[in-house]
Amino acid sequence: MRRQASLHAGDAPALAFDRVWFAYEAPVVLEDVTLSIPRGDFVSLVGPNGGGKTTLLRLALGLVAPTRGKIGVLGMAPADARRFVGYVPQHQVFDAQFPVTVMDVTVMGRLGLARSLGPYGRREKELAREALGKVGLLDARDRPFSTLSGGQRQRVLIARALASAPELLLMDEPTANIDSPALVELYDLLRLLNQAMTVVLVSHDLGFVSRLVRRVVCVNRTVTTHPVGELSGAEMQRLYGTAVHMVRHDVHGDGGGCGCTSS
Amino acid sequence: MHEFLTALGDFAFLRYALAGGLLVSVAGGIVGSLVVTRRLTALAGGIAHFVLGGMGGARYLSKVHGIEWLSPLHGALAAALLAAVIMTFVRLHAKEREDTLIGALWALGMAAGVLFIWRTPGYNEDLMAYLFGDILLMSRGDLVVIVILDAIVLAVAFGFYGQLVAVCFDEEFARLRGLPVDLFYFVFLCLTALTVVVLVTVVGVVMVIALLTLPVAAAGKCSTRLWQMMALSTVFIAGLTTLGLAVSYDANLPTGATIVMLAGVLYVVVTLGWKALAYVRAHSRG
Repeated sequence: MRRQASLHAGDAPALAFDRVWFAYEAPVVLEDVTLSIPRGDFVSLVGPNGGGKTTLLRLALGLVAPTRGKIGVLGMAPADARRFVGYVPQHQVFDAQFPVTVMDVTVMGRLGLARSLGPYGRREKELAREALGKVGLLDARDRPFSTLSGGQRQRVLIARALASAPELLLMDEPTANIDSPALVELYDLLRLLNQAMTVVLVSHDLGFVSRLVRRVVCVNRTVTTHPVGELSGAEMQRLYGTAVHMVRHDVHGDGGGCGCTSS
Repeated sequence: MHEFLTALGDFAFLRYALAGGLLVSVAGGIVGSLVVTRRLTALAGGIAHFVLGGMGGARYLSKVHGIEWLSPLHGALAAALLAAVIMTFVRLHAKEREDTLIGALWALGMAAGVLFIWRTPGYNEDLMAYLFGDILLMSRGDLVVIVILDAIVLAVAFGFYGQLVAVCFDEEFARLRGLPVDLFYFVFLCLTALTVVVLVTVVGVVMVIALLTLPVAAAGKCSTRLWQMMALSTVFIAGLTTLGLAVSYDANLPTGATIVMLAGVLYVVVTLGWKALAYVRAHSRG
């Protein structure tokens, strides 16, 4: 299942937080977070708004530095690991009028990996086309990004991340503003991608997440990890919205301490 | 129009004006596209008004203190670059509200310009030229400055096209891919500052923002890629300055205001035309 091609500290976990604290100003956003996500894992960060999910992602990307503690990404400092990390931001944040095509967006994933002066080379465009093929949007490569549906935009942003051949895929709210047929496609796509890389996503949609991921990390200032219970599709439907029951509290002695609620 | 063409043969100042209008379109179209897509119109407006302080200061020094080689254009370039440095510094280091600072630069530059001009003996007609532009004052030296700026802008746009698209579209992603985003921002602000200065010579401090945004916004309606927007904006600005020059000459109107008015007409026509086209398409299908 797991790709062996890793060039560096092969045994280091994809993501390791060691007693990490973080505060922007006075209130503490993350408190004494210790967390280890092995390679090849498929994990979702869940928790209420303002609970620190996005901050955790930003720490992993090295966009902010921890107040205290240590973070390792693929055995490296977060900033050094960036070139092996594919980041997929929320698709709604983009200027709808910006004049770019699907191909223009995808090939951005090659920045920093190719020669930096002049237009993109043939190889970069080929890799971008490959990535678009993986997400099923090769035929849409010349369409303006602004004419795509939410689900399609999401997949273009995934293709952009894939174009850099990442070992770790970090996604921020991939399910936000996506209709249900698109969700099914996204579900299948992420399952496929997980065969080749570690996937960590932030999501509110616990129904979606619990069918897909192996472990759920509840983030609400502190962090607790839960394996996803063996629940059938029917039960999932019934429990939808009462997400707190969908994950079994971990056996490692932190049971009952989860501040995770269905938000 | 015939009258204008005849005059063009007779008067060098008209030929300079025409050349100036065509040349500014390159920098204006490319930099204008970046300003509009990055939504930094207010920042460009702030720089434009700050420039008045530099123009007034340079004229004061040259007239009152006898530094004769110093021209208002020199003062404008210095002030614009100073504004770019201040804005970059504030964005990176100070936790000030950016829009408040833009407003401060805007007003203080104007105030400094007015005070300098007040203290400088001579006619106040210069003030009018700074505020509302006078493309007919375009000199050979101005043309050289514009050609140099065009060359720099073209080199940056060709050399770093992919990076520029990425930084404008998604700055955070560009940063994660290892691009020196802050350096790009500084270079971008400097180019904006220089472009604003050359556009000021055409339409003046007050109206420069119209020439930097209206043709670009119109071009944006018909473009699906950033380079198309840049190219079409350049064509639009070249057409507007040429037509504006011809119309204002024939009708004896101020050139800057005529150009800006034509830009407004272009923007409205393209916007409405695009809406009408979308409407027709939608209804012919269903």
